[in-house]
Amino acid sequence: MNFQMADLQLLAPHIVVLATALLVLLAEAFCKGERKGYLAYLGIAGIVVAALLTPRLFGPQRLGFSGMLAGDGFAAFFYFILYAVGILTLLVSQNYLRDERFEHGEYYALVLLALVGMMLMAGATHLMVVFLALETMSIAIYALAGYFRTERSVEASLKYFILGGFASGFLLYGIALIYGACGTTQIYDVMAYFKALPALTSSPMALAGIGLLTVGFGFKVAAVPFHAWTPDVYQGAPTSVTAFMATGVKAAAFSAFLRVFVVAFQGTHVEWSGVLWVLALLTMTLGNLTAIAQTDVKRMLAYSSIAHAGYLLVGLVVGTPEASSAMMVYLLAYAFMNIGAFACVIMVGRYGQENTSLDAYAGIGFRFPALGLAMAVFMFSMAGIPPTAGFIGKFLIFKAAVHEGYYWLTILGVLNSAASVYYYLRVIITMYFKPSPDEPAVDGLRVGPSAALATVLAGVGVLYLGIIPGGIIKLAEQAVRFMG
Amino acid sequence: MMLAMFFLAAGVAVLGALGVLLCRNPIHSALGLVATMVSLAVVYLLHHAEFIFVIQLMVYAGAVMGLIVFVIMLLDIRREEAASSRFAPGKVVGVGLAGLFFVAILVPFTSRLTGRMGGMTESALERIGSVQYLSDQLFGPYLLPFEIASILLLVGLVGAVTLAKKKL
Repeated sequence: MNFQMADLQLLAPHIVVLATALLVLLAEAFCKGERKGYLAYLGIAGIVVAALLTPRLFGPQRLGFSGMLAGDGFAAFFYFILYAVGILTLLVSQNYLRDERFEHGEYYALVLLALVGMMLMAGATHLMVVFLALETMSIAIYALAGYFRTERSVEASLKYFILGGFASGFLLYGIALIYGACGTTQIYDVMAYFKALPALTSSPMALAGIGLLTVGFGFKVAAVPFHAWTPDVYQGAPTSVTAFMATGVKAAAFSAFLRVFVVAFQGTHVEWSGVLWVLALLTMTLGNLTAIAQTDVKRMLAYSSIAHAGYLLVGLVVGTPEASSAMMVYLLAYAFMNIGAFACVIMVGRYGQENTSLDAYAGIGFRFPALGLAMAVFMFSMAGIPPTAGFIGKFLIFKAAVHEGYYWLTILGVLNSAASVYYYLRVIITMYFKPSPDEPAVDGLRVGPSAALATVLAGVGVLYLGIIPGGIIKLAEQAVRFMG
Repeated sequence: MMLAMFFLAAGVAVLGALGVLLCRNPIHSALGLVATMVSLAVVYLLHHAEFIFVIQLMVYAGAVMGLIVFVIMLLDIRREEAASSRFAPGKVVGVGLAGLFFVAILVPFTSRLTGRMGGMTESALERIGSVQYLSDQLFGPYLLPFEIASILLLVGLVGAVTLAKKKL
């Protein structure tokens, strides 16, 4: 047996979250109550315990389970991003589900199980673990997307499921080709093999494998041209699930994308960075241009999520440790601002009426000042205006790109970012400067203590990262140092 | 002889897969799937993976296919109606792209494989196929993926209940 107790230390956070998921399922079965909100807090307690077990993973890299799972700062930083996503999602969901009369333990359990999959993706150092973790995450999300069982919700689930199945097929075939070319799927062994055998960088089999992996990951992060599912799925899924998908899935997919491409395929950076350059540009541009034309806030946020994937891809194109740490800060910032924005979208809606059209937002800035302020902060952050987290994230990524001489990509990225200000500010202008109609669509907010807490936490996160980002940036820089 | 059997089995697998896609009657599609599963089992056998061969026959060709046929009959799915016109521009573009992709995934096979683990000698093949070797690997180095697979099944189960149960 090549398995030691030390390996379990690396897996401890995952085990805690998994155990919490099972506990949630059992608690619902044994406590026959109408109110199930406590399950969300049970989940949060589990995540907090996992978070307490995580800091000791920072430090020099350790590999466990025969090189399948890493315990390093990179993984630990991503675990913390995912904890933030998980806690905020659970807080946002609780109130929303009760209002929509859909409060069941399975929802919370699936969120936690998806979280386990995401965490395994961030820690995986073997392509087989990457694949299985990705499937664990995806299947939970497919079910969550169809959770409301309305026509749109089920359509979203089915669309995501069918296209996601295709994408998984591409990913798996890519992994098979990499195995064919390298004889191993352990990420550090692949890296060593590429180094030892430079001829491999022109082998069609290895290149085709890298290409197929690009398709697989590109689908999960919603990069153009693999983004076709995004708007319908994000719009049709329950809003809390949309927030979870846009932040959690993106963070997890980018963590695996980073480790596989920047570590395993660093010998072929010249080859894949050209392809990703084009993908990054297309993703930013198409996401932003289409978002401008939207009149529905939820759909607009879906396209904006595509655009943000584009900015993150710029970091991946650069591929230096500086760019990797910038992406990590960006993903953390994105988690706060995106879940915050979706929390506001949830509050504006009410049972049976989501109120996601932009017209519904007319005048609510003055009628509900706290909501208006929160939404404005999140929109400013998404647009990348200081002193918010979004600005810091974009600044770090473009700085890394300039350091490596990607001037054109930086210029086009900044132009894109400027164009995006239009549609983010349009939400703020509608909220504050459009008179509210005589019979306003929104006559009250659906707000509870948990949703309010989530919004405040997200807002504090956005402002903290925007004003005093030094500590987090340093942590991210230390985290990538041991990545390899 | 082995090569001829391989191509025969692979050919039937591809034809069966095409049948799954092209047949309009769901039962015919299911039968095509059976043909693909069984011929894949033969391919496994030719690669000396006896254990996987047996599992493939028992689990996929046997149990899973039985379930699929049952479900088709219980739901009484009739012949699928051809709803859309035959020559939509989207279809043409789709077929073109699929063709391009097909060519692209053939490219890897132009590279000459050297094999890193050494040649496939008789003794190596004997070892790979055995149940003992497989289980040693599964519960040794591949313990973590094995355990993740169990979480994956749990997620599938909870997800299916969430989506399918009439009243949660």
